[in-house]
Amino acid sequence: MKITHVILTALRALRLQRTRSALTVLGIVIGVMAIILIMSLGQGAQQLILDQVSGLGAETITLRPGNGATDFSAIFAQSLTRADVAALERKQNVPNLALIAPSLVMTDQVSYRDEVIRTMLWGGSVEFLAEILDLKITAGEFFTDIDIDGMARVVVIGAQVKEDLFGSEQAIGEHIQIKDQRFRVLGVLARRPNVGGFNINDLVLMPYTSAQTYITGSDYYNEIMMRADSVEAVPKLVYDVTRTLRESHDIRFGDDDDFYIQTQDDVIENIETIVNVFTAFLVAVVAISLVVGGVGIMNIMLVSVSERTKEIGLRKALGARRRDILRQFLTEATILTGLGGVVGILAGTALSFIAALILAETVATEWAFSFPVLGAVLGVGVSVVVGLIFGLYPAYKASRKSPIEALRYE
Amino acid sequence: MSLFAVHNLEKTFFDGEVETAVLKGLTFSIDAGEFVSIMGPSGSGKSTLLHILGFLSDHTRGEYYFNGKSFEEHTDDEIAEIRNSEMGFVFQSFNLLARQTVFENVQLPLLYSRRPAHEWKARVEAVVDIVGLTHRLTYETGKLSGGEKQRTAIARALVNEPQVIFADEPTGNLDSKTGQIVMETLQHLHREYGHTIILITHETFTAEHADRMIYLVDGRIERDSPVKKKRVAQAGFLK
Repeated sequence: MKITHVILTALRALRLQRTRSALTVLGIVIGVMAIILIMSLGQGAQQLILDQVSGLGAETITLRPGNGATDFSAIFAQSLTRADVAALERKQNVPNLALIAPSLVMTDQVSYRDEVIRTMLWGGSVEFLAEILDLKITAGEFFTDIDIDGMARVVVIGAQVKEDLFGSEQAIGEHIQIKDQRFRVLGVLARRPNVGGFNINDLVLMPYTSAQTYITGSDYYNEIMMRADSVEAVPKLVYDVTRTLRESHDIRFGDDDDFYIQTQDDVIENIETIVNVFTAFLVAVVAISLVVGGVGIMNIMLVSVSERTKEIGLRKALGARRRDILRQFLTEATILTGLGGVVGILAGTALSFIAALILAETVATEWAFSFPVLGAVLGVGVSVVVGLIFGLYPAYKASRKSPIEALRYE
Repeated sequence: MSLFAVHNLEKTFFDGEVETAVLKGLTFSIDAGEFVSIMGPSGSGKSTLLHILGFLSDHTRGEYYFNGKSFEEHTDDEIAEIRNSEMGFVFQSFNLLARQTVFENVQLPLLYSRRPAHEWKARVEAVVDIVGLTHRLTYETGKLSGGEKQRTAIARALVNEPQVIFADEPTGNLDSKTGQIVMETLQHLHREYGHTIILITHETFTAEHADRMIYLVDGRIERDSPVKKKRVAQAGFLK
């Protein structure tokens, strides 16, 4: 029997049982729909995060103490000092360095009168604020290099911090309290989406020298951001920075670095890995529903085979071979699940599109719909495979029916 | 060489502990071009014999040769092919696919044949014309009368130009007039196209439309003789 006729015969049989076919395949439709939805939202989230991260610019690299992103003791590591910054700033050491911005990040309590909040404190420099984070100020002004040199007790606060501490009152010129020290509010930042994964709105910025003096009480940094003079120079920058620091830290040949450098590529890779693992996990959970859908299909196919015993017997009496019958029922199951997969993709795409609209409205305006090509291929592929696997047993049963028994069946 | 050669054929059904002997040693042969009726009361084993002759089931003991080859010598695929290309079946209960048209039902054996698809349409139209149903070609068979259903089934049996047509109580579900039309069609096929026809029936009247009658009682051949006064069906249906 030619494949075209196998398919036509299968389609006809499915058409005769339209309602049942539709209900049978519903499990597959929902499963594939969920896969598409999850993968689409996963891609959307990933894109959103990556857009924010790449806000830092591909030329930017980050230097941190410790020996890797997973080295949690690095939070307390004290390997980056002012001497390091001085060494890195020397042109003969790192010729491609366009900008260097040491910073400290910590979390602490901030209070104004009776209001107390816990927020992120960031000790930075003017270049860091203006150029790397590209921050805009709505009221007041930034601190200056003079403030940095003078370890001034001044801060610039994020929009959310201003709202939490001052409400609608004037903040500029007021003093907020951090660790028994009073800091004068110089400016308030414009509200804006995250940059580099940091919530700018929930931040208190101060000169890094002030943070070292009044908050940490040491002369270490926990982050130094640098910018290369071009994207192409990033690998050379990484190389030069590594060589310079190994020299100034007196690390011997063969020993590990006591610092690590993260390029934007690394950050993107990390985020992609995290989102992908998470998406894969969810997809795996959903895939179980496809198996359940497959069992449903097997169940209905078995009913169908037993109902159509007479038809099977007739076909065999008229010359159908075992494999003709096997192929017919297998094709029915596969077409059924394959169509279920296609419908699932359409429904999932529509649902993801709506979800993206809602998310853009409520969570993040930059949220964009994205169609998961891999999810679509996977959805149809898995559906067809489910049809093949769960259709096999009923089809085999059908093919083993004896024509006589089948014809007698009333 | 006979088309069918049967020697000491036995068939026993096993149902757990219970053995039921249905055919108890049959010996006969049928040549190509014969019109034979196998007759007997119900339970005489005539349907079982037809199933064995039609390669629809196997026998327990004895020998059965179709075209000089026994059932056991064929693979499953060969048996399917013989059923498809050399044998045509007409059943008492028609066994048509009710939701499909006359055309589709008649075409069914061709789907499983080696005949190229471009010849199918002409073949179907030719045999539907023989049974006089050209005006019903696009009707679903569920909507046809009993006589039309059986003629559709006869067309389906003919479509692949088989040597033999097996008819199992073909008039059993029909009134006498439509029964006559079916018998007239079978006689016509035998006379004009030289088909070998094996007719199963429990009615003497119907059996007498054949040239030869094998009379079965309780699994044995009681009589195997030519029909003395052959009946000729003249329903006036065929021109």
